[in-house]
Amino acid sequence: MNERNLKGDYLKGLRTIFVLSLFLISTVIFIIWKIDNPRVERLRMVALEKIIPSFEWLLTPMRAFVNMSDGIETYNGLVKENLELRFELRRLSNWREAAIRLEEENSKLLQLNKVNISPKLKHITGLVLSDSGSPYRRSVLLNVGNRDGVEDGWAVMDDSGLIGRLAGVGEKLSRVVLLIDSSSRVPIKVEPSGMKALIFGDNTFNPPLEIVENTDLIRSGDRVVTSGDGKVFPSGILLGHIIRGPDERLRVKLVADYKRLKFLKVVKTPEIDSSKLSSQIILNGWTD
Amino acid sequence: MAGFMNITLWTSSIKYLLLSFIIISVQILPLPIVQQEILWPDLIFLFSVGWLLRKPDQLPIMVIYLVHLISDIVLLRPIGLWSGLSLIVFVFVKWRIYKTKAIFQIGQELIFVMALLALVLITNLILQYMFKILNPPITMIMLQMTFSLLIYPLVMGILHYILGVRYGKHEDNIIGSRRGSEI
Repeated sequence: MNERNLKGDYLKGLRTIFVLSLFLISTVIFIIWKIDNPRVERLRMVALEKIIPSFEWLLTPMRAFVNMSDGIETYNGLVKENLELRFELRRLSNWREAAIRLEEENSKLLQLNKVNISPKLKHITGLVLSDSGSPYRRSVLLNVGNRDGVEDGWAVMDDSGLIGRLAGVGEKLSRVVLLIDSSSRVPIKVEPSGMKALIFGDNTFNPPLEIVENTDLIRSGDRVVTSGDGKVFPSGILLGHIIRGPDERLRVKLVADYKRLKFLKVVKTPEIDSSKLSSQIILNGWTD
Repeated sequence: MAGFMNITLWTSSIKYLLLSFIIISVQILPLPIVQQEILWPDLIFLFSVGWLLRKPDQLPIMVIYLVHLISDIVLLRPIGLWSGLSLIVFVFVKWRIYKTKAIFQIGQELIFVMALLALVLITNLILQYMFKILNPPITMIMLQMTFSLLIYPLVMGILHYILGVRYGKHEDNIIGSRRGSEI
């Protein structure tokens, strides 16, 4: 009995040391993460590249299932959508004529002026691998990385509008911070009035406009595009349209389909000031 | 240590790992329809506490800790913060239940687990605020607590019926019976 108690005490001490050391490991990792954030985030990307493939065997069937149920849902909406599309087609065919005429005119004018359009925007398409999984972080992982030539801070969009920007690029993966994430700030311009403002991510699909010069000139339905200020985004990428929220604040109805993020375009942003980025994007994403 | 020879220890660890794997996968899966609106409660935390309450001797702290550390990395949380904080709770629960062999009723368990979760969430929030990481609005935390409260009975159900982790007589397992003879 005595011997057993002794052994028990010994084990207990061992366990305490074990638990304390685990706790210490956590604390140390956390402090390093806090002090040298960009480097640890880079390490996290490296770790993710190792970890995510090990989830693939589960993710693949789940994705298939989700796609299937999604397909059924889309099928249900098809009849209605078809009808709407037919109406829209009729309206748009008029516009098409107008556009073709304008295009011809435009090309003639450009020829007259000898304008050389530089291919400023180049893009690469990536597949969304996973979600951040946390309610406080709105970001996704994309299967493009350094080997595809993308760099930190490049803008990411879907077919119709801006989605966010790259923050954290690994060899094969990169993280996209969505512009609805609460750390996201996008300098924008409202057309046609040309008013500039910032869009603050607030975890909703209709982020609010802040720091607007003059709200009187902005009407709901106005187009919202990136202004290119601060050189974090190329200018002129469509975000969405102005709506007035239930709280009477100006908000943006985003055109990008956030509920179905699948293929995203990473847009090359050549004029980006990379010295600014490391402080603005990486730290903004985590410390601010 | 006899622990390494214990078959149930191994099977339950593997069960726990698989479960965590599935939970993390579902969370990081880009679900198009439902996911965006849902504030995921911390399911792994809930399952871990539930497990430890039922079979404290069949789930090594090391396994729980590793799962939490990995989920810190994968779920893009501040690395080490949540895993460190929850570690304290798990150790507390494990040793406490080990000693007292308490068996909770459903209501008691619900209150107990929610109190633990609130404790961790609030400490987490205070630390995040102190270290200026990001401070999610308090309403979100409240909402997440509510979701956890609603989903915990389901967690209990899954533990009991699907995973077979049940409250039992502690004579069922080796350590329990040894401890029983001591008293």
